[in-house]
Formats: sequence, C-alpha cells, structure tokens
Amino acid sequence: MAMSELQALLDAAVDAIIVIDDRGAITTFNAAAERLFGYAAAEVLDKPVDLLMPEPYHSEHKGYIDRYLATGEPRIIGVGREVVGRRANGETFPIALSVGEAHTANGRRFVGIIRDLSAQRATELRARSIEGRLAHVGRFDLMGEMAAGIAHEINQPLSAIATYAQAARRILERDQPAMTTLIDVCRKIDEQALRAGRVIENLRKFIKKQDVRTESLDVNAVVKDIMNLVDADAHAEGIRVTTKYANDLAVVRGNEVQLQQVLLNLTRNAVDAMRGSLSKHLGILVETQKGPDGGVTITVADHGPGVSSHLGDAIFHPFVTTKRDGLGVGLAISRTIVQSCGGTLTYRDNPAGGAVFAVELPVAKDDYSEQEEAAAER
Amino acid sequence: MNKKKPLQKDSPLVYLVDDDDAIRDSLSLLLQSVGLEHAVYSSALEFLEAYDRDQHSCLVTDIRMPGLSGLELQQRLNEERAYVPVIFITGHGDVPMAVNAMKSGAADFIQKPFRDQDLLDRIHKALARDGETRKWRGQEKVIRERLALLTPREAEVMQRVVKGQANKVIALDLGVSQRTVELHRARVMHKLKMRSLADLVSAIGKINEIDGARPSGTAAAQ
Repeated sequence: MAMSELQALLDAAVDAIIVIDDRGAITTFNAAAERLFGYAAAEVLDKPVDLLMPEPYHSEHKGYIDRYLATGEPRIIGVGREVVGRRANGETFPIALSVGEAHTANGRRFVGIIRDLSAQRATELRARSIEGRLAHVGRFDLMGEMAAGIAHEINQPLSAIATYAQAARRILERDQPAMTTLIDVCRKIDEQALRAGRVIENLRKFIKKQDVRTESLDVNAVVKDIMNLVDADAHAEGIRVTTKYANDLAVVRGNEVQLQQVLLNLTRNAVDAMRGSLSKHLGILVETQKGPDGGVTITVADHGPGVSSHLGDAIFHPFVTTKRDGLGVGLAISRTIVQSCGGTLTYRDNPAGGAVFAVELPVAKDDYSEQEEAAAER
Repeated sequence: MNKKKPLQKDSPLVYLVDDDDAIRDSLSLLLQSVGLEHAVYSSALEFLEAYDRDQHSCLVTDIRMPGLSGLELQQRLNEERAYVPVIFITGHGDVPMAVNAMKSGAADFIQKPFRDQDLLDRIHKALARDGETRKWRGQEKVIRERLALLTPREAEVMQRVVKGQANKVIALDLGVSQRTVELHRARVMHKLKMRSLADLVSAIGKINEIDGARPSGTAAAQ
C-alpha cells in the first residue's frame, strides 16, 4: 500500500489515530486527531505524546512506557481506558483511549485510537441532573405529606421544654428551691432543645438541593440517620417502627440522600397503609440484610391491606396512586433511584399480611480493595 | 417518679399517661411542684392494669399513642363503666378528634404546648367533677334503697310531684281526696328522708335521668 493511500485511509477515520515510537514521540497524527486536539500534524510530529495530556499523565507518561519496555507487563495496551486529554488551547476533555502495539521495520510502534467522550458525558450529566431534580421534587412532595408528623415531632420537645420551664418557675418561687432539681431541669431542657434541633436539621438536610454524586455508603448508617424522620411520620399515627440491622454488610455505591428518600417513601406508604388497619399494633419493620451476590437488601414490611394483585407492577408507574395526598411519584422515583445504583426495587406480599418492599443494592465494585486498604491502615 | 405510697381513696390522684418520656417527665415535675399526687404510665395498657375505680382521680392522657390511643382508652373505660374524667393532651390538628372525644363522654382537652395554669385549672375542675360524681354515687345507693320502701301508690304520687303537678290535680287524676295525696306526700318525704321539695325534685330527677338513659339490663347507650 502506498504511503499516500495509507494516510488517506487514516485521515478518513472518524476516531483520532495517533502512533508513537518506543520513546513516546509521535510518528502519525491523523486528521481526526488534528480536529480533536487542535494541533496540525506538522506541529506535533516527533514531539513527545505527553504534550496531549494534562497532569499527572503529562509527567508520568514517559515512565509508563519505560516500565512496559522493561517489564513487558501491559497496563493499558490491549485494553481500553477512559482518560483525560488536553487540547492545544489547554482545555481538558474526557476521552476513550485504546492502545495496540505493532512491530514494524522501523521498530516498535504503539497505536492509540481516541474517541471524544465530551458529548456523551454532557448527555449523561444532563440526564443525571434531570433525575436529580425530579428526585428533589419528590422529596418536597414527600415532606408535604409528612408535614403533620414532623410538626408533631417538633412540638413534642417544645411542649416538654415549656412544661419544664413552668415547673422550674414554680419551684423557684418556693422559699427553699431545690437546686439539684433545678440543675437537672436545665439539663433536660437543653436535651429537648437539641432533640427539636435534630429533627429540623434532618429535615433541612433532606430538603436541600443535593448534588447527585454517588459515594460509598454504609447502609446501616444511612438508614439510622433517616429513622428520626421515619419515626416522626409513624408516631403521629401511633405506629411503631422497629429496625433490625445486619452486621458486616458490604459497602454499596449510591447517593445518601436519595437512598434515604427511597426508604422514607417506603415507610411513608407503609404508614398510610396501616392507618386504620386492625393490625396497627404490629407496626412496621425496617430491616437490613445481606443480599444475593454479596450486596445489601433493605426491606420495609407493613401489616396494612397489601397491594392488590391486579395493580401489580403498575404501582411503580408515575401518577398511579391510591392516596388522596401526594403526586403518586414516590415509588416511580424510588425505583429510578435504586436502578441508577444498579439495584432493584420490588414488591411482595407479607406472609403475615401486608406489604413488603425490598431494595436490593449490588456490592460496590471497588469494595474489596477499599476494605483491604482500610484494614491495612489499621 | 411513680409514687406508689398508700393513698387515701378519697384524696385526689392524677393518672398521667403519655408515651413520650420527656412530656411525661416534665408533667410529673409540674404536678410535683404544686403538690398534686400523681401516678405516671407510658402506655394505656399499663394504666388500665393499675387503675383503681374506687380511687378519687382524674386522667390526663396523650391522644396519640402507639398501641391503645387516648380515644381507645376512653372507650375502654366507658365500656367498663369506669367514669373517670379525662383530659386529653392533643397536638396541633387533633381538634376534630378531640371534639369526638368530648361527645363520647366526660372529657376536656388541652393543646400542646400549653400554659401550666391552664392544665392545672382543668385538672382541678376534673377532680372536683369526679368528687361530686363520687358523692352522688353514694347518695344514689341510699336513695334507691329508700325508694324500695315506697308503696306503688306513694311512688306514683312522688313521680307526679316531681313533674310539678299540684296536689289538687293529682287527687283528681287518681280519684282520691286531696288530703290523701297530702298524706302520701308526707310519707314519701319521711321514707326518703328528704328535707325539702327542692331536694326531692333534684334527687329523683337525677335517678330518672339515669334510668331513662340506661334501661335496666342493657349496656350503656352510645
């Protein structure tokens, strides 16, 4: 094949193709690469390829090649990887890079094929931000439904504070006020003020517009943290919520507030279902367990009437609701949230009567190494 | 906190039921600060186990509680014909519930958070009402025993007197002399040990009311 024909083929490629030698110097730079990086081929030929990389790759790239040449152990060769590139104007952007190796008459060559991921990332980000906003709307809707319960939960400590203070005043009006009692009362007032503050703090955290980043989560801690609002809701209806936490659960990946939103939606539904139920005294059980494939399962079990079988999976569709208040988007949003963590949200009948909703979350992929690191640090 | 020292049955006791530790504790302190004897319970069932219907008392209870709610507790007490005056402590938005409670028996309610004096006034009112009820219950027993001593004709005359009929009218209706009616009347007053017509009208009026509301052999009507 003539050199000009090869060049024409390379230039016709949609993806950027860059060839380097074993010193890291660029030997081929096709038209797509010119468009992508904003350099003319003539400007970069024979220059080190790390020119196209931001830090830390820029400084480390020479080392990567030397290590490969010395050990023969490929890190990126033969595999694709998502990395970051740098354009001539200094701008960085996400790229998918795959590297192959060739032995030519002129020596070893590495062929890099590069695709721009900026557009794809932007779309993903947009989708996630729309999901995030929808979830946020869902949280407001949820809080609206829970307003009475939350008001009650804040009113309790306020009422106790008022009564403590009034009793303290009466004690002070005596000739010989009991100082130890009064000191004790001050401590109790303080405690109750903090109790009211915690409810408000949880509420504020829950309502606040959150970013939609995922993080490694300890499911038990996430559940414990939201129980305060769950109790507020259930207590207002005279329903007890019991929790059971399994030990040694795997770390999962997800967004803390969104996972709490899922849980609150499920307990909210459970409270609604149990209102007026004859089995009200049996309460609601929230349980964390080891799930299939090493993941984590959270179940919310109630003793209400259950979900009639003709509704089936439709309960997870938006605007399908049996309630007077609320938009009926709770379960739909919950399922979207769980699925975006790679998990599932399913319904089954409670053998003891009522409904069971199960959130199954897969184990975080880097869970193993993280645990090892944590162990090593100890 | 839960004072179990032997208490005179006729000295007042406040039963306090609330599932919230802080509310219960603060109310207990308040009652203690004004020297009101009280016993506290964290659930309706716990209270029902300890409740002594012969104790002069009133009940202060939260309306929303897990297990038996305040309203259900009141219903249970009514079913058992334990007519203790109840003061419900309600939260915001419980007013319709509280109205129902007042319809279904002797009850008062107070919304959280409240002024201490408001609650104490209600407690004193409830205890006074319970005291009167208890006093009347004792009287009722005695009056019923005495009513059994009346002849049918004396009972007939008594009912007409209580209705406000004049001797002349009663004599005409029963076909006897006015003098005979006067004699029956005197015997009724003597047998029932009533000092005045007003006492008689008040006592028999109450008994008629009870008998009219609860015909013998049937449970308390709604």
